[in-house]
Amino acid sequence: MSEPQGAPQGAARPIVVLKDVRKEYKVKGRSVPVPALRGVNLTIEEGSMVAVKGPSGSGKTTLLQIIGALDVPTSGSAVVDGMELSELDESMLTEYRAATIGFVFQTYNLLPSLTALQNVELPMEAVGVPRDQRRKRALELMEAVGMTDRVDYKPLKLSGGEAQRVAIARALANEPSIILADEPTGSLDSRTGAAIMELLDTIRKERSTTVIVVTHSRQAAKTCDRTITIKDGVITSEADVQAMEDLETRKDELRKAISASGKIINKLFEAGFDSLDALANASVAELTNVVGSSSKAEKIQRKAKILKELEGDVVE
Amino acid sequence: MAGRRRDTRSPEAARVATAPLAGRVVEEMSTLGRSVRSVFGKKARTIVVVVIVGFSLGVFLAMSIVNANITSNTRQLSEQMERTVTVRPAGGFGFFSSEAMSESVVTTARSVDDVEAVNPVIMQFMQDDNGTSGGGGPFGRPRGSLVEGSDPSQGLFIMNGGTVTISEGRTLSANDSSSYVAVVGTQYADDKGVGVGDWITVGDSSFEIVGIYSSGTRFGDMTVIVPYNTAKTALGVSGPTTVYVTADSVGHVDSVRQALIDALGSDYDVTSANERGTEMQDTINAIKGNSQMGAYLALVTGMAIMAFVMVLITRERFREIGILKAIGFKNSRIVTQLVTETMMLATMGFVIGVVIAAAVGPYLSTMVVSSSVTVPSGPTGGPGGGFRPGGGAGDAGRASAGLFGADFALDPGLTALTLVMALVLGVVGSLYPVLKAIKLKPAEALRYE
Repeated sequence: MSEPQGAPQGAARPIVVLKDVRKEYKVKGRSVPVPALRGVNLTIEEGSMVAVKGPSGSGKTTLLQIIGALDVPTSGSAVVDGMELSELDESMLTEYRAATIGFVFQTYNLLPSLTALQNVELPMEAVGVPRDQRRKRALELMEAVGMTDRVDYKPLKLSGGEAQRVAIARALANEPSIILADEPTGSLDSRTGAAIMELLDTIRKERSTTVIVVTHSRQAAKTCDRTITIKDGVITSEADVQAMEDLETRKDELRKAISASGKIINKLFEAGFDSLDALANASVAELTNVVGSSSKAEKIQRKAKILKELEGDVVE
Repeated sequence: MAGRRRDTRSPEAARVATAPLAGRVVEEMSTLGRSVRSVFGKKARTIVVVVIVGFSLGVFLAMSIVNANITSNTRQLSEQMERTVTVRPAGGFGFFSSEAMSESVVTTARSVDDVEAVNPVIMQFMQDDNGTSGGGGPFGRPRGSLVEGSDPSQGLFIMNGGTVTISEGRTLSANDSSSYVAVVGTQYADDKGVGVGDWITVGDSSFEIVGIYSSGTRFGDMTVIVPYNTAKTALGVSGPTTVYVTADSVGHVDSVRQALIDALGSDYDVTSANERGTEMQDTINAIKGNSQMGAYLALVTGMAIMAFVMVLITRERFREIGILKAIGFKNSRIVTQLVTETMMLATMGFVIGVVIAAAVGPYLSTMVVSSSVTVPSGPTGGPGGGFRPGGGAGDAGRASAGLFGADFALDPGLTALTLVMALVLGVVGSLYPVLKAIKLKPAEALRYE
């Protein structure tokens, strides 16, 4: 499952290679630095779309900031697009940020005094693209994100979804190799969030840009072809994560099928009744032991049997 | 969609692709353009900052100009006063001791050695027809008119000094010594609505205005100058109220004074410029001290406010600095933009400051003078005191304000200095937080809310 599915097979090359990356923060009033990343090893293939998940404070954003050279690791090696970031001086890092990386933030981070179009022009201005060219390209990008009718709007006049589209257009301005998106759907409703993820996916496919998305949302992660989970500053095994997610999916399916609560499903799974088959074949007494009520147990078993029969009908 | 542009992908390649000169010019213009948009995009902030900065610069400018004016007027006054010895009836008060002396005083004075000129003067305060002391001046200051009878052969001579120039008509000459003619100050002419050829009433007689003079100070321009002899008749006085005796050199002032005391006896107060000068100097020093203190205070306050405001508005923008860094802006460009912005704000504040200085300058000068002048007691009133017999410190102060404050005008040198100061403070005030922000890693700057 760790194979990038969206990337062109065979042609994929690693674009991000992190080796034992550690990051510690000095916190005022504490003598011991607080670790944010504790030895991260990670390889991301070019053209893939990767979700980075994990609880708050697990180090997701720090990971993104290190890949984007907004911050530097305390130790370890970060090679992005063939460049060892620790070997770049300040001005080269500035150029790296301008040319290689496109950032998308949860709070959009558009400059309020500039129009949407001027915000999109900004990264091109940073690398000295002449005015006419950058205007032309900014208009193309606004069109690509479906914002042609909002070019002269100031960010405060845009909705969250619109502002994020402008931010994505801005991130694409210098045709970066990698787009780093830090909770891009975090301030949006689920429908708008899904549209933004779709837009990122389209961009990735059309421009073969690598997209790394930090997200809390399982739905957002689903758009990605790979999910990395960080916990306490380390990446948990991707196989474990996948197994956990599969389990969650099965629980969810069974819960919906028999209209039971999450709590009961958990109990049933713990007792080994983890499929319609198992439930249909179990005795009411066994199920009563698990769920603590014979009437509930009967209902569950009846539903499971009916569903099994229906399945059987369909098969036949 | 456009194909991927590989040449922008490495820093090396990006450096090679750096824009040509034309591109650089565009870059700089964009920085300026962004500064302008940022300044005018946040109107409320800009207005508040500009008004605060403008006010502090304005007060500084006004106080500095008042101070400079006082210094130059003081010099002019003391030059005039140096060689003069004044004779007045004992116990008289200020210029306008209405008690007349005998003509013999003039004769005696002329007989003293080392005397260059003797100028008998009759000075009287002229009540208006309705018994009030003239119309209110600007800022509600009462303005009286004075009658001065002086020897026309000595040329025009006004009590408080200043260079008298005839702006209309003619001056008085020796031929006028028995004529009912008058030369009046521009301020008097304006107040009364009279001009050359008009007749005015002084005491019991009518005088024809033959000329209008200007002395450069409002107070000095409120006098009606008539020939000494006709003044005596018209006002019904027997002799001069003050006799000005000019020594032939500064070194003879003391000996002339002593000779006059010996010759005239104790019925007269004989004072020299040096003596009066000392008292006047105290008063003027108090005024100067006040205005200088005010200017320094305004300067320090203005500097502190300006620097503080710049620190605040730049700190507020740490996040924006973080965004620009994340997007790939060079530090130098970010610094240029922010410093340009603060310089624009400083310049706008300066413009407001000039407007404020022009508006409040005359009021400030009045305030500074009236709060520092007290009427010197005794016969040695000097120009600072005794505008009206029996007038209090306030009146005296207001009279002095007329003397010192009437010439309030923006001095180009000081104004330019204020602009330079505003720009320097703007840059210094913003540079500290900007440099601090620039040192932050973009991730840190982005964390600022």
